[in-house]
Amino acid sequence: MDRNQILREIISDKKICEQHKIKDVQTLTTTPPYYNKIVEVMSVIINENDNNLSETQIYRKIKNLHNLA
Amino acid sequence: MASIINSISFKNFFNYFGEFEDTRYDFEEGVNIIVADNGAGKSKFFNAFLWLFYDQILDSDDKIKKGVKDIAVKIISDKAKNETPIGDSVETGIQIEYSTGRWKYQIIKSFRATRIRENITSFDSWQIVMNDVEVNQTDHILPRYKPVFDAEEKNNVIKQLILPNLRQYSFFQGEEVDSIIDFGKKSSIEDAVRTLTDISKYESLVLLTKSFKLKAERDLNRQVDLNDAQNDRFKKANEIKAELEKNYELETTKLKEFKNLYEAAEKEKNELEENFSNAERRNEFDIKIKEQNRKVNEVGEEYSKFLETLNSRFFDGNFSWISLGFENIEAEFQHKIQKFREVHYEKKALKNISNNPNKQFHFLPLDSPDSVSLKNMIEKEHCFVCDREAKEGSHAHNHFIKLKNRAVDSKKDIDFVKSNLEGFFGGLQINAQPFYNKIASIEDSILKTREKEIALNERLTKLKKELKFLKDQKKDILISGTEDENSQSIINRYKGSIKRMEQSSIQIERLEGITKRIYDSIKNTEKEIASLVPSDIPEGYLLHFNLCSDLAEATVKAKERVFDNMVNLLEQYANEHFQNLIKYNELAGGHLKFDKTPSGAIEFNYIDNKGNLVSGAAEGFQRMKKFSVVMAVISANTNKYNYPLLADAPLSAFGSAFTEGFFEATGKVFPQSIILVNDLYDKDDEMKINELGKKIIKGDLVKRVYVNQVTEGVEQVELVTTKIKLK
Repeated sequence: MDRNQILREIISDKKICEQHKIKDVQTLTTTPPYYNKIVEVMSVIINENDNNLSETQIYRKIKNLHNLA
Repeated sequence: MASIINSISFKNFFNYFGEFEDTRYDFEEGVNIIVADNGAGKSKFFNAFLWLFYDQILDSDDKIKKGVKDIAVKIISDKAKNETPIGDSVETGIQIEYSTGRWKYQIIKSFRATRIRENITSFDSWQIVMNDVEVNQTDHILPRYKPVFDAEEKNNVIKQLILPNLRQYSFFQGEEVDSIIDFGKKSSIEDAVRTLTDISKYESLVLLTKSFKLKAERDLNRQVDLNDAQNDRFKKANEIKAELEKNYELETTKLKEFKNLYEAAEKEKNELEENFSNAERRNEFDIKIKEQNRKVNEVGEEYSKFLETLNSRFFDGNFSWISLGFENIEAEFQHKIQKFREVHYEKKALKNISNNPNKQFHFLPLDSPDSVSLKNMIEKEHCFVCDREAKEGSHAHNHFIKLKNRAVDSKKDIDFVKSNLEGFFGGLQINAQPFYNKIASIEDSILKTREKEIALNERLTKLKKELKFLKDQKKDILISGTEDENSQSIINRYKGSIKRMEQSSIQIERLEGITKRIYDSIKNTEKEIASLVPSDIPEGYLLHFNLCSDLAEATVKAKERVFDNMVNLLEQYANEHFQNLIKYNELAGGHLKFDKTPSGAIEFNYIDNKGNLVSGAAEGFQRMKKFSVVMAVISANTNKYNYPLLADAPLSAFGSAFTEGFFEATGKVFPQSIILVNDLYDKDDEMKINELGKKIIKGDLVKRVYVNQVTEGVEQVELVTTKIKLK
């Protein structure tokens, strides 16, 4: 299952689509430009998990997306 | 892209005697069938793939898979062994060609066996040397192969024919299907789903997102705690600031008061400044005047007393001023007293003579001269009676002394008067003594006294002048408006104002220090407050948590959704396949049902049309169900299953009733299937296959059909498998 498919499957959640105003899930990709923050975060998780980064490393990356220490 | 096996060739491999070209089986996409009777090399065919993937061979004697080298002698074709002289070698191997996408690969695994002894079946008779696996590749355009040298690449080429974790669904033999889907183990289907649907990726993401949610929550809580702490600190800082401001106000008020005090004192001091200097000067004059007054009074008193003593000097024996002018009075007195005494004594003598004619010739009376006169005469060495000198040591002088010392016998004398006034005259003499002793010095004394009087007077006069001068000077100091005020009071007030200024100044300095400190504290607190401004926790943390939370939830749901969809799909495909598999069976099939248990496991049930559970079906039926599930697993894979089916005699496991359906079903599921069966063999038939076989091979999905057969009635060492290509 490719990364985009996984991303779409997850983001297609009804609650997420409503809260984050995502209309067309099928256009979402795990590569930039990202539709919005949640897509970006999930993309990073999917991509870096595939790249065999550790949990800590991935978490650090998604924190950086919010400019958090 | 599907992996399609293009050919399988053998070299002296079990019953397959000869070179690769002699025992080559070509295959295509779709169904490829090799019909073979028992012993015709069917399972050996399967062994080739065991060797390819696992370097193992299934020992037919004990049904145990063994290492190729361990069983090498058994692998070598008996005929080949027999025909190899001692000292010669024989090559044994397998060759498999397959295509995937652009590339075509050729894989050769072989070994060389050198015969060293007579007994061809003994392991000791052969020296086995395993050859390196040979992998060659080409693209479909150029026919020539090029060798692949890298060992890892070789392994990858072998692996990608059928990936290891998928082999159990593609590459099985006989009863193995039972172990693939063991309905006794609930995890079997889940494992199958997981393998073929990448559900493991979702599971991995579920774990990740769950962990991230927890971490984000922890980070958020930490921020909330920090924020709460910050809020507490903010509140406390504000309280401290309020307290400081209150103190500042208080101290500032005090400072103001002291400043006012200082100002008032300073004003007073300034007002009094001139007065103070005048007052001080006046005070100085006052002191001087006072001193001067004292002196004047002292001298004045001395002068007064001196003047008072002037009168006394007349009568004071130390001065005897009254004697002034009476320088001769003593002589006159002496003369006169002498005369008196002479007359008196004469008369007395005459009386005495008349009374006592014997004493008429007494020259001097006892009391004449008197002792005082005598003393005078002795001291002065002069006789006042004779008026002549009487020097000491002279007769006259000595006579004086005798007379002075003579005994008095006055009782014998008869006085003729009541009083001879001797006492009186004596008294006069005595009393006058001090006076006329001083007569000589009276003028001098008066002079000195006069001088003293003048001096005193002058001194007094001078002091008075000075006093007047001081008073005049004092009067000259202008004192505006306060002339009437006591200068000491002014001085006290002035000094008081200075003292108040000093005290106020000290307090002002102290309070200024305090207020400055408080002010600085307030400023620092304000800075702290500015940095502690309560606000919502940094938005990023909240957003981060919300996103992680949403994603964790969504990932779980996605996984469940994918899993459920897959299970549903599985069920759908399983039923399709099952129906295909059993469609030629007389028994009406039921419905395969996959149910999720409360624990999340998949439960496989077989229900009839009325929804009742069906159990106790025949073994072949059971296997068909399992196989349909296997195929369903493959079909349900969202990515098209890319690997061939290599099945050795599955139909014997399923039963003949399912054979036709099996071929149809597999053709639809696997891009390529190579099926080795003996169920379709009919040795008596010209084509060597039975009617079912003939029917089957007519199907469009069936692309290749081979029939293996062995030479009958020959020794083992001559036993070879030959093939007939029917399609």
